[in-house]
Amino acid sequence: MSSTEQGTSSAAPAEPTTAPESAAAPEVPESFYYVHGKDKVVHKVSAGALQHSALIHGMISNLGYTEEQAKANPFPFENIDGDILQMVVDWCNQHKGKPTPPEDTNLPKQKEKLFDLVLAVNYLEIKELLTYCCKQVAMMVKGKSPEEIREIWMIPTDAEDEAAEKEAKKRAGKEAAGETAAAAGDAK
Amino acid sequence: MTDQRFPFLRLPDDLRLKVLQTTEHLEIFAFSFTSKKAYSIVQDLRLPISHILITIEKRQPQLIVRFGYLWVSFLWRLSRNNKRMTNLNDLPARVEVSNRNGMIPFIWSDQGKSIAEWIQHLCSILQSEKCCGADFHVYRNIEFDIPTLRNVFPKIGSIDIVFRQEQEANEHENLLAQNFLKAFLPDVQKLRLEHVRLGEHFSIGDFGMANLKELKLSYPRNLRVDDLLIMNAENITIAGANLAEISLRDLNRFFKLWMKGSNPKLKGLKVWWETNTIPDLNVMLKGLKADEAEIEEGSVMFKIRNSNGVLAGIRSQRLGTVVYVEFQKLARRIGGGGGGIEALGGGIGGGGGGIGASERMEVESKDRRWWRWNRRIGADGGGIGGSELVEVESKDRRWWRWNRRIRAGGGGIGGSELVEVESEDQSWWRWNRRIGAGGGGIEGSEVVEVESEDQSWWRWDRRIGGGGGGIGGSELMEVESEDRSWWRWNRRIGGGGGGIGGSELVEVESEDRSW
Repeated sequence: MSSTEQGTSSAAPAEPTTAPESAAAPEVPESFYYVHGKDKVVHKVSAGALQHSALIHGMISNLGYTEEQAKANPFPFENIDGDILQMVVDWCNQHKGKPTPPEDTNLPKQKEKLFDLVLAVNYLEIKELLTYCCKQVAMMVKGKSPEEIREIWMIPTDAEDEAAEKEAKKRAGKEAAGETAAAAGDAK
Repeated sequence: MTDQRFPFLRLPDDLRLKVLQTTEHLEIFAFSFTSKKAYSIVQDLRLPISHILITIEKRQPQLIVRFGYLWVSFLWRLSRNNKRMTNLNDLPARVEVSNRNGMIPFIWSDQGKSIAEWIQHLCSILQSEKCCGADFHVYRNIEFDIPTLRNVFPKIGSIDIVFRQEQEANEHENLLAQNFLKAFLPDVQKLRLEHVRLGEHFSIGDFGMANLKELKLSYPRNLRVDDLLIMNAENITIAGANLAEISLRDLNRFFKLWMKGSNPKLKGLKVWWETNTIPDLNVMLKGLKADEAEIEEGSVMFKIRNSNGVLAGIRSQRLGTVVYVEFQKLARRIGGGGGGIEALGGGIGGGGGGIGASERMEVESKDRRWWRWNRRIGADGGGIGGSELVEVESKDRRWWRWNRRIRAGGGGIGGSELVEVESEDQSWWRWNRRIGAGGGGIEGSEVVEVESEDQSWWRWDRRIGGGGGGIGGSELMEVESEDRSWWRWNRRIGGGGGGIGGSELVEVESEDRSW
């Protein structure tokens, strides 16, 4: 990802780019923060864009980082895949300082990533994006029959649920027996 | 089939809920059929239904769920060769599901469920207690026993039993209709019988004694006025009555018996006939000693009173070939008094040369659907010449209007007229009223704001500035209604020059708005 005034990503914390110069009234220079996901790729995001995330916004407020401290300590989100974090960062940048429209056309189109995206967005507490994502999930089944919904939303049948439950019980029983045996061995 | 996949059940509970909150009702129902787990998730949603209507009819049994103005319809097709439903255990060949008028319905499979199981599935999701209605069509070759009906259907608030028109009743149909009635009558508040033949399908005793809120008999046969006398329902409608069975003379007899104390629970009776003859209303009113009161232009209400002092109004209208008679119990009367305003809620003290007399004639609310009143303040002294709040009326609470005229008096208010206040859908309303300055009277008057958000509350302030020789000052401080179950106000009219000395309407309060 190329460096812009709004965001950048690199293997190591990037040099902060110069804040855009305004021809009009002098503005307070925008502060930037850094985040990385599971792939350790660091994304540089403006504070304005990060305001969408209640979680990151809270972290920024609580930590009170200076620009240098922020650069040295990117926020780690090890539970979020790099490409998902990239999508989230892109969305935040696109919607920085703008009111979010009722229908968002900038949503990620890859349906196969939607599940991870929903979890990430929920974790990062980005309320508007979460609403859009949930709507996307709902739209997947619009006008579908029960059989089609079962397939699209991957709903196991009752028989599959029962089999899975039996399997889980069996596994739990085995684990309990193993623990008992181990405890008895320790006692000897 | 689409190649999109989403592991919905792997979402945490709160996210599942969030997705389902943005899913349309039709798809939520479809989801509920996918597995027991999905069914349980949908049950926990507690969908906000407003009404369910189940129609048990031979070829197209149907269930319609209403969510306010939205709805979903399930129509069970029994087979392609127009097979009739014989009992609730029949499996539908397909289910046509729709949620918009004119749309091509979605076709669902039977989901391995009989019609009874479909009804149970849908009603158990919807927790439909008390908001469910059912139409039962009575016909041959269908079997319903009472335990099955009670087991399959939820508690039903209103039922319609529809008999075949102009065909001889047979034993099977009579038994079937009896089963419908016996299964649901204990919980039913509204009962409608269409094309019922009394003495054949039912005797009047089968349903007449039930404590119904509403009983409607559409095109009944063999109904006599004596039958009305033993009916216990609060509101009775006889639609398409047979003039040979119930005539205006019969109604006259009924009203006379009501005046003697019969049918004490009756709040309203509506009867209409189709006839080419112009009825003689004098036959209906003969000997009732009714007071005549015009309520609208061209419509006259005749007021009668029973032995317990209960007031009722009778109205009649002719629209084309339809003749319509309405009897409506009115609320108690609060009489007016002498020099001051004597009785109005908590009492209003008399003023010097001010308002001569005041009478709140009627405030009435039928299950909160409409209410009206007349209030007259007689002219006196040098104060307000005359004031009349003629009518406030609301049909099914959708609109209301009134006229209030304060005629110019000596030194009083120059002129004031609040001509019309009207509210469509009642979701909110506000107005400004300005009364221009009169001669030596009130300088200015303004009802600043009346506002109602979803009808849960409303209040206003009204200030009438002091003028020359007129009313010194008047302030209607507050009218407020929490969930519309009660309301009160304070009105203070300060002493002025030659105007009303002092007047205070301290409190008017209505519990459940029934009076």
